[in-house]
Amino acid sequence: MKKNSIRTVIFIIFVIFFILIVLFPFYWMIVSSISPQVELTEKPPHWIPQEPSLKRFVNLLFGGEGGNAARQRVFVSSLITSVIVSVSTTIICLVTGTMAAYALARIRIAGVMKILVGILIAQMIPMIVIVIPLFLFLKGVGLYDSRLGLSIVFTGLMLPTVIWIMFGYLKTIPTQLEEAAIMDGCSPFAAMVRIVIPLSVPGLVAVGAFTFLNTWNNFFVSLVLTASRAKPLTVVITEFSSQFGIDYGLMATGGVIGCIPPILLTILLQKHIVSGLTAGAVKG
Amino acid sequence: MTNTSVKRKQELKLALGLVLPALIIMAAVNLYPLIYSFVISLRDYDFHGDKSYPFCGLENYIYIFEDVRFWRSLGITLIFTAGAVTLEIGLALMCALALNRKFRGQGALRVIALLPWAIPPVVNGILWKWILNPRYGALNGLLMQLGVIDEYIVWLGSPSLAMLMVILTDVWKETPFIMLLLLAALQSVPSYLYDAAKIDGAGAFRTFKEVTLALIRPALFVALSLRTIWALKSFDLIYALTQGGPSNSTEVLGYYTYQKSFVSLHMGRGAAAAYIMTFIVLLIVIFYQKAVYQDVEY
Amino acid sequence: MKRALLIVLVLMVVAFGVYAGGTAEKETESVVLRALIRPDEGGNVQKYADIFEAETGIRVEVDFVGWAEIHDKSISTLSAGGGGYDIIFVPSANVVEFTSVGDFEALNNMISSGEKADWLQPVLDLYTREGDLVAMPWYSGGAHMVYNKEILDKAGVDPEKIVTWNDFKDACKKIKAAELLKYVYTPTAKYPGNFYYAWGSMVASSGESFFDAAGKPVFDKGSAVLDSLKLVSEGTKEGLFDPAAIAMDDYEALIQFGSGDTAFMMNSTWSATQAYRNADLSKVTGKVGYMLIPGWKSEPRSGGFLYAGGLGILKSSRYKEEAKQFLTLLTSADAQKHHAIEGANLPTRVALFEDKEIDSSWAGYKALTAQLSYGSFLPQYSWFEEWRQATSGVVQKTIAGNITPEKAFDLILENARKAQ
Repeated sequence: MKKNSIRTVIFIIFVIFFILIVLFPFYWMIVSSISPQVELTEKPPHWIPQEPSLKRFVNLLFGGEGGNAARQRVFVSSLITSVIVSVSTTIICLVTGTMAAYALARIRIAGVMKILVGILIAQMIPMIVIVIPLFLFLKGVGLYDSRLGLSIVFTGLMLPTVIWIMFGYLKTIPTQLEEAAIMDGCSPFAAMVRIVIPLSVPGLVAVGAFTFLNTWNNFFVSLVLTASRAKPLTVVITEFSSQFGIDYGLMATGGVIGCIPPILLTILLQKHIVSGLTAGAVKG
Repeated sequence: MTNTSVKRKQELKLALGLVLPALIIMAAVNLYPLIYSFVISLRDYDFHGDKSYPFCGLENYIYIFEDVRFWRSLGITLIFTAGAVTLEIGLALMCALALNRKFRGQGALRVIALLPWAIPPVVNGILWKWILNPRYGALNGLLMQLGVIDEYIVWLGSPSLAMLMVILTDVWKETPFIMLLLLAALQSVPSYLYDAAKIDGAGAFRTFKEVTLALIRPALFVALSLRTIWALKSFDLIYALTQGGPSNSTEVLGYYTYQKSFVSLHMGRGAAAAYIMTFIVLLIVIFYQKAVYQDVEY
Repeated sequence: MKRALLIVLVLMVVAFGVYAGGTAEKETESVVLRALIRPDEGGNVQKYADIFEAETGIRVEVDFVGWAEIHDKSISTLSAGGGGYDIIFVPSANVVEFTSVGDFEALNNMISSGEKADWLQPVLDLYTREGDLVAMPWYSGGAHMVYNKEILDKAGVDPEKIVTWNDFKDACKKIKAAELLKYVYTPTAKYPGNFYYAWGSMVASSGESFFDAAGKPVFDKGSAVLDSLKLVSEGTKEGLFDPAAIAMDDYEALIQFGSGDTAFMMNSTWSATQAYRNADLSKVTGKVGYMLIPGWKSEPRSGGFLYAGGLGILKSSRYKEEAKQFLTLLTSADAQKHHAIEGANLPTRVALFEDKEIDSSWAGYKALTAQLSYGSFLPQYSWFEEWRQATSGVVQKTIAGNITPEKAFDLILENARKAQ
């Protein structure tokens, strides 16, 4: 019994240590965002701000002193852009990606998997080299600096991963059920929609979260492919942070705001993210 | 026409219909830029030079192979990758083993572990730059107060220390997520296997090696190969923290490619460097597939 | 099968429909100018954009992109043909790059030959490529030496007497001896761009150039490069200069100076004004003094690198005339005056350097403009950026004490010969 309680204590210490290391940077970012600049350069650091203020948040979100209506408009519009682009990218990815994954998992097509792996590997090419052709492509089809253009690009960038993971996930679902449905006179497409899709909801949730996060977090592609009309939040954060030089407090404020949606999503979907991604990735 | 061939034809039609939307998007967004940049890599695409950008065969590739800085940055990339991946997988495995039991607050812990993975890389870079600031950074302040150091350390000031800090920052961001992947795999190991091992009189080490490790191997390999690939092409973190410095000591291949394209403004060489880099990644993927995947039994 | 395709189609339409709100705001009949500008001058730009709209009905949509990102964004935008921008901000460091990558409209008729004398000649020269004016000079600035009056007083150092870098080093020793500070000065060296505000300006303060007009290195004939390397190396070794300089940029040096942790700061006009006026960044606002950057001999007594900001119009712009109108307003004497009073950089019109109104608006103006007359611009060669990068690595090694100043000198020379 005694041995067990020592173990428990060690375990608890370990967990606390783990949590501290993971959370400390977040804590410091929040403290930095609410501390006045003069406090940030104190030695030793003020771990708890003496004069915390939400001034920076108010300025960014609502204009406030020194800010203006135009800047706040930019911020709100970028927030809307980020939401629209991330949501629609996720939807298009899930729809087209699942359809493709289903076809690959269920219907024998020679060489297709090889192509898929090829695309996955081709994605390893640095973004820097791809971004200018992408720019030209979007300009060519008249979608530069538009939410639609951005969503199409992100869909393309995310699809190989989505297909790969969904392919792995669909492989874990036994085919007997669909076969039975088809025997009963269901069309293969209907069988997919009615039988397979409901069964793969956990995988869909995980892949959806993954797509959403990656789209939301993207910076470089968005920076180059958008201008004033379709800038997402990550791009605008860096703009605010440099408006007055590189104020660390403001950078931290931008950071906190930019982290809120991904963190909320993670909290809501944590169960599915890990299990879904593991199932897809490991069995793929 | 036989019945089966009609059925097969229908099947293929369905498959085509299902794959087509994804295929169109990927052709436009993935394939077109790939071909385009490959063509660029064969041209003397130098913004400072002749505006007709004439084809120059493999000259760009030869240039890259002859560039001392390329080989240097390849070495740096390998050091970074080896360091980061070893630490990440090792620590993640340790943490996963330690946390592999039922306890209250498991869900909360999982959320916390996902946080570093979920935040935008831009924010990650900003955050760590501030924490590692040589004069006002929180890391120096903390270590000083704990009495670990008696003088502020310039974390990004010397080549080896800067590399270490870049690796540790990467470890902070990636380890918890890998830990969760491994934890999920560990929890799927049926407990009767442990009981069986116990009955067989296997020691802790043998149980670990023959039951635990054997069964989470697929997950481990997936984590290993994904992390290796991503570490090889890392760019964001280096860009935010060190911009390749000090004295080019953290100039990884991703940054070298960026330099060639955006600073030297020779898009052709940049693209060539990118293709060489991709080829290296490909070699490693093939290596993993051949050496590692083939003996994974399910 | 048909049903399958139909459903796919419907789903695609639905997905596309999501954007209806997003893409509905298509351009209306009225002219909208689009500009890509860095945010530091945001207040000034916004004010004159509003005035412009009120006067002409033409709206100016400005994309403010931060220093860290604007270079890459501009290069990719220019290389892909402009991306719908009419006006692009051209920093002095990137004139060659930007004009090589993109097509800029010649703005020769915006400054007639009679008016040329009204503008700072070096800035005009900088923005003139092959006889064409490629960008309107918008602001100027450069390296300045800023000091903390309180610390210098306590240590008994008279800034007026600091004429050469040797005087400067002696002053640092005196301050260090008075045990007022751990480090007296930080020769920032993190990024190649810090060249402006530290080591590069030390060299430039001698009046010597790095290269001749053809791009051949000439610095090996003078002594300033080696002297400057010795200064940063010895200053660091003797504990006068902060060794963290290797990992610090100009902004971090401003924070350090603003916290009262250093006595001297060599930095941009922007940082020099922030230290003086911005209480959010600086705790020493009431104690800031400006002096001329020391030289290597008593004559010429100062020097340093200058920078400037220009605004170019792209050939692909549909509204070139309107864009010219806006630039005329934004670079007018009135706008520059407003900028010099409210903002943080200096004008490009000669007359404003003597302007009484700006002078009386804040005490530092005269000292800052005085420094500018000694300065020079970075040379404009296509390979310069690469050389500066290599050099920045060498300077870092010198500060770290990994190589001797003599070895560093050889490496810098070798890089210069290789660069061409």
